[in-house]
Amino acid sequence: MSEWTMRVRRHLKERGTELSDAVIEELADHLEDAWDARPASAAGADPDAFAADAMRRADVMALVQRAAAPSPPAPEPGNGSALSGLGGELRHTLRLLRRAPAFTAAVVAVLALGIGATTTAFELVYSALLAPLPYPDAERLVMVWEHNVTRNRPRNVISPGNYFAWSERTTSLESSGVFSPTVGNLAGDGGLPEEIRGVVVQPQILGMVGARPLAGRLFVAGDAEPGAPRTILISEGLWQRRFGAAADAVGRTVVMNGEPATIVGVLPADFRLVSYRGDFWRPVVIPPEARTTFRGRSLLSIAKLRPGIAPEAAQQELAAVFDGLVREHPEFNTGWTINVVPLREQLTSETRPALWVLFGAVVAVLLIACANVAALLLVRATGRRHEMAVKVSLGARPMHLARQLFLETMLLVGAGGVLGALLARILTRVVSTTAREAGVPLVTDGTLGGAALTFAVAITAVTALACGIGPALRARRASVNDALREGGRGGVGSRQRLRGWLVAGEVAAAMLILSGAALLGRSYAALQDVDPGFNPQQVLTARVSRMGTAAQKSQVAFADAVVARLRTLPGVTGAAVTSFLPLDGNLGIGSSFRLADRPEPAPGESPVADYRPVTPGYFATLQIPLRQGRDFSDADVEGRPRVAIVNEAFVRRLSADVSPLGRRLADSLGETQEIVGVVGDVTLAGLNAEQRPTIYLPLAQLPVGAMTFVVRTAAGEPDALGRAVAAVIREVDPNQPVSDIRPLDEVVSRSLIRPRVASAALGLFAAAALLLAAIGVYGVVAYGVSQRRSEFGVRLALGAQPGDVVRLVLRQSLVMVLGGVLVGAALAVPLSATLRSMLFGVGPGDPGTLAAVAALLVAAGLLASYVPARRGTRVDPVSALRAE
Amino acid sequence: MTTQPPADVLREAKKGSAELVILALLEDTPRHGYELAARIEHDSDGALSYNFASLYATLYKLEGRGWIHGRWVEKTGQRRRRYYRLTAAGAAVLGRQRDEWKQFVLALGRLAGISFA
Repeated sequence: MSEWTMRVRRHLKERGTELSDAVIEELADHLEDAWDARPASAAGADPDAFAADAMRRADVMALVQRAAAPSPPAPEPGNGSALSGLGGELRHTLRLLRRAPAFTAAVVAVLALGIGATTTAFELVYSALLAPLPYPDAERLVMVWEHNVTRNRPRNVISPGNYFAWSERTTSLESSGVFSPTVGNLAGDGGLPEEIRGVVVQPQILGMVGARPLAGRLFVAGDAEPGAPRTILISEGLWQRRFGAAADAVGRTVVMNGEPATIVGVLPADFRLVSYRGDFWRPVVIPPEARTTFRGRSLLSIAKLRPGIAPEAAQQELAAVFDGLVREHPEFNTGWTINVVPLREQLTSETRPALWVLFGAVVAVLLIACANVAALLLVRATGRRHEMAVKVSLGARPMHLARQLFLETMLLVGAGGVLGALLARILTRVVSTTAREAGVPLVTDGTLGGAALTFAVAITAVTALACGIGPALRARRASVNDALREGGRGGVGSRQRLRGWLVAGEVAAAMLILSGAALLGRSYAALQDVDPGFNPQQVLTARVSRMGTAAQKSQVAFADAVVARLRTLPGVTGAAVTSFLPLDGNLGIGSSFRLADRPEPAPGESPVADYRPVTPGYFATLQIPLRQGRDFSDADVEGRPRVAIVNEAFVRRLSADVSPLGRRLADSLGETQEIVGVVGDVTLAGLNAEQRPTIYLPLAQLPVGAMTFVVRTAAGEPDALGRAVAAVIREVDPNQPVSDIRPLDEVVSRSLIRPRVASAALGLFAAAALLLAAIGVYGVVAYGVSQRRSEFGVRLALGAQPGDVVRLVLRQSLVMVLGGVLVGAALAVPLSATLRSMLFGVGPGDPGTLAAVAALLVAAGLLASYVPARRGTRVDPVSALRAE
Repeated sequence: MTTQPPADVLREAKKGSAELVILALLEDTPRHGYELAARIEHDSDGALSYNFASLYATLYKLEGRGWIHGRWVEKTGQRRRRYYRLTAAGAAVLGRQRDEWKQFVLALGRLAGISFA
């Protein structure tokens, strides 16, 4: 090390600065040259003093900045190592983001929520509406319904006689079969008797949908012959739960509905026929005479189209075949035709509108989130405008800066996407578990599929583009000019306008979701206000199914014995039996009837009523008012004159002019009943369904096997009674399983599960949308106010009152919010029509609802503007002007 | 630019001129830092002189932009010195800056009544 180098180093050390060895060497060279060339007058000078003097005068700081962080050599066009550059930029960007943790956390959180919710909604929509169905040749599978044109029931169960006729005559179908859900009482295997759900099927159906047994075999045609030994298939779930997954379960004989049956196979847990899962499957035995019986409709039918036949073509061909059946059996088939429904449509038509509405709402929330993120990025870009311009003046190329900004956005959105996907995994599991417990059918099994993950990646990329393009484009236009005009306001105005547009868009989207949520909320409230026609409070229900010949024969005696004992339980004020509980989803028996003293109506024009077998005391127990006549009595039994009680809807439909009491009804089985009473209307199918004519018959005169005991208690929790009721039933028949012991009000509230879930879900998203939009308004107004501090200072100095400034700010944000509200309202009117099938008691585009939502949004917008506006009035005029 | 007061113009001019002068001095032959400083001071009769630290800061800046290129050279009997030479990019910039400079001087002349007749 030369002595000159030492001198430079010593001086740098005194000043506490450092330079690289090369620079120090160059400076030392320079000083030495200068020393060598010193004028003669300085011949005797001290070199140390000379160096110290030169270094003291040197602008070392300029050198430190330059030498410590030399601007990277500007790469020649097309000659830069893009990869190594990217790595450096990545590290640089990460450093920048770490330095702004609040900004980074806010952006990532908003994006994770938006992407997570959207991906979850996509998984639900995809698995329900778009995913391939789990059957071979699924696109050729159809459900075949009978369609009652006059009563507008396009998906009515079918008649066995009709089925055999058209399935033999059609040329469109490769194969077809009938099935029906059922319940069975399982016993005889050492366990407690248990009621399980199952499906009776024609054997060919299981092969048609590609069922593969885990163990044993499927059914063969012989299993369904009348007189064949009874066989059942069991589900994997029942096999594990009840048989401990025993390898020898197949081949065992159990008692099913009081008769022995052999287990021939086990079906995998995920197997279902259309939407029907069963713990057991039984071959449907159709007696030969049923093939020519044209009375009663009770079966479901699934079919496979011939290759190359479209569902529409099959529909046409089968309708023509059915026309022949109408001519052959006019008394039974007039007014009916056939309806071919592709399997996917069958599975999704009920949930499709709700799912798309949900998906739309979630996408709108994501858009709002994106707008907020874009606005945040714009603010950040504005704050860094000066930094950018300085970089440009130091030789950084605008394109390079745009890339850096875009990289930043990509990192933020990427992090949001990864967290969002994780969130979606959790949400999907929670939603599917909740939905299954609530009884809402969802196809997803709770895991996030590949399609949903692909969607998450795609939506993340789109989000990155949407959020990042604006700031990056602006950075590209950064110029040295901006750097020189320090404190200049160039570009701020247009940027603020852009943010205003973004926020107005957010408000419009929020308006859409809020109006949808408000309409569903009003519908749900209206449904809750519907009087079901009975008092569900303090009533416990317990269902039993009398299956098998012996059990059915003793049904009436069994019911009487149980009811008699129930009435003696402490606290019980009433007990009775109904075959079908209102609002539990089981519609029971619907059949045509006529008044016996009137001429037979033309074919297809007979009125239809719901038939409800009940025991005496049923109306009193449920507190259904008796309007005229009498209740059934213990004397109304088999062998005594047949009697019926009708509801008020029945009276309105048929005999508003005269009293119905004493008139006679003729049912489709050829029996006649005398009307002995009239009771109030009860909603049977659903709180939003119209009141249908209902005919109550004494259970003793029409025992149908299915029974639900209803028990009213004076006070306290009806749940407490549950065990006592089960004990009573076991006392009377130890082999009789009991299921669904639950309070009646739970049955009622469960019937509202869909509207409740729909309005709650949309309400949640609406709340998120409102909050995000309010944050958006707040952000844009707060930033606008901060930019106009000096203007406000001048206004205040010139005598404006704080109120004037607040009004000025509020007026401007009101324009933005009102613009969004108006656009949102204009879109909400047509879009809410998609909700029509989910609405009750309120129309789509209801002006009152829209006005209320608009008022809420304007209020939220003004509140979000007021806070920053007030801040604008606290500007000290003097300091604001000095800052200028 | 014509709307700015002359004092600003001069400050800008001096800042800008350093780069121009350095590029011009390197046009024909590579030189080391001390040589550049000496030539500037000598050629302008002491009118233009730079703090030597600022000179090197400017050199590094120009090198960073790829306009000049410096490398250590050891000539026999002399100390190791860093010589700077003009690059092709630097030559292009020099040509452009010369044109701008001429226009600037003309503007300056109109403003301040200085004429380079």
